[in-house]
Amino acid sequence: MSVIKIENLTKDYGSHKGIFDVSFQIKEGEVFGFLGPNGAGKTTTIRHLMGFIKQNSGECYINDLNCFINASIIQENTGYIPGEIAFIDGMTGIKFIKFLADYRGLKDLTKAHELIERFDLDPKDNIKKMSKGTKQKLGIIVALMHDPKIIILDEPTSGLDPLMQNKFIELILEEKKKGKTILMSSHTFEEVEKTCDRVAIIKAGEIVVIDTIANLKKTKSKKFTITFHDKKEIPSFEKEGMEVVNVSNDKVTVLVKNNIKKFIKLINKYDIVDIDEEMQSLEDIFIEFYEGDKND
Amino acid sequence: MINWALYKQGIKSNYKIVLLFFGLLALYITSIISMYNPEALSVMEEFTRTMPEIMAMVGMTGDSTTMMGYLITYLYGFIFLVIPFIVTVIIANNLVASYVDRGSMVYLLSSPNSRKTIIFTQMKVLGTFIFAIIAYCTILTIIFSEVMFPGDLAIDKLLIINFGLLILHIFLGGIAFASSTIFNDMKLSLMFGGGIPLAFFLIQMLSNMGGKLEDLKFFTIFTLFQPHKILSGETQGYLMIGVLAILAIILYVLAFYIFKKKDLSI
Repeated sequence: MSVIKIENLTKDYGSHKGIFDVSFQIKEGEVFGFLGPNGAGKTTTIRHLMGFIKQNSGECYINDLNCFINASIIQENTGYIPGEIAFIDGMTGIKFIKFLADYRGLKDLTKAHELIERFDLDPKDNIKKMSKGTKQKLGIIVALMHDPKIIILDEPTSGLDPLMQNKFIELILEEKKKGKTILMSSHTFEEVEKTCDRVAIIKAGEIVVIDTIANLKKTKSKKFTITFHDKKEIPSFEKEGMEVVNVSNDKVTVLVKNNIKKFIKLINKYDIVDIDEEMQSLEDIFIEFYEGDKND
Repeated sequence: MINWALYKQGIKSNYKIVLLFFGLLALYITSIISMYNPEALSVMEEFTRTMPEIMAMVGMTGDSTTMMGYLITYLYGFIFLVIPFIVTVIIANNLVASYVDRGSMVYLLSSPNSRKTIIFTQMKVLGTFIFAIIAYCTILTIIFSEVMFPGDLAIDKLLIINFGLLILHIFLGGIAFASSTIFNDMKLSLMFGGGIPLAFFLIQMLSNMGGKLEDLKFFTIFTLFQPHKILSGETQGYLMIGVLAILAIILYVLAFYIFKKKDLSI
């Protein structure tokens, strides 16, 4: 059964801003990644799910309930981390947690305390003085303290250091084991590939592709930059049939896709001093999908 | 339709401003009452003689031979209109627009509480403060004038007039509250929520100066609050309060629907 159902959702803010004809469904117990560069429409889509804004056309449902009209019923079992976190001023972390628990009618704070310990948050700090990362931790705690069945996360790891990012990924995997339905937006592929089953990629307000992580990884190519000991070798390397993206001085950047073995053989053949994998931007991945579409 | 946690939060985060203005009001109430002099000319009347235009502008004219008449002249023309209103605008702005502008409205909405509950709770916080301010003015006036001039104050009249004052401020609070729900930007919310009543008040000041300008009274909402008429028992004075009450209800219903339907890009 689909827990989250978005059908032809459109919100036009004019001058090509907004989201257009967005559709996807998330099954119960599924972890769904929502990828796109900044300003692509991830947050706008999520705001519809949260019942903050009303669409121009199309529908969005959570558990078959209309997201705008039945927001308060949906929210009973939903946890949310906003993209831009803003707490209530003049409170300490623990006061904010207690206020929200009280406001939600939540009496049991066991999970909140568990999460405080897990993320090593000092809850007595004043919110105003918290760093971005600390605020993000607090955001995670209040989003999950009522043990929601549906979890909606808008770029949840922004501001967290790598250690905390890993802790967060562990947490998501645990929640996934418990059968929670999770929607997580991000602007990097690496962040979602560790946790998500399926991914939707959105660009300029339109869904470009929806596929499983496994399939996307297959399509996704890797970029390596190799440094030659002798740059005179470069011209002959270029003739080996690898896809060379860039050559500068003694460095050559190569796109590797489904031919990693050949690549390894080649770098053994030449006198290579150094090799680096380049993080691919989402833009690169999009371009590949677009080209893939054309080729099909 | 109330969420007590949110109600408490509203009271907690706004009571300090109110206490500050309580101090200011105490200063005005006690000094105006202590200048009352039923036998000879009061200091205030001295002002009226030397600068009649200015005193008229701020509504400080009229019969001041009785304590109630004196208070109407010197407290209800300016101080009791403007000071509670300033507090109300600030609080109304804090209760909705500020949450939206700062983005913390996210946390109010992503909860099992409906927009209806949220907005009704915030209305009740505002109502509580308006009531507290007028009640405070009433009690302080009664106590201080009874201490200084025992028996001079017609308390029954004061209560009726202050009931009218309460309705007036609930109405003005309604303008500020509606503005707070319409605008997502605190600056705009304050500009309209405070600016519209202020414009009415400036028109009122001009119309107070008399002559041709008096016709301006048809363009200001303050014309609907006439403590003199309530004091002399004119039905018109009461009817106008009724009109204010109806207008106030319309404003709060409007604020409710705006908030319930609006897009909150937070």
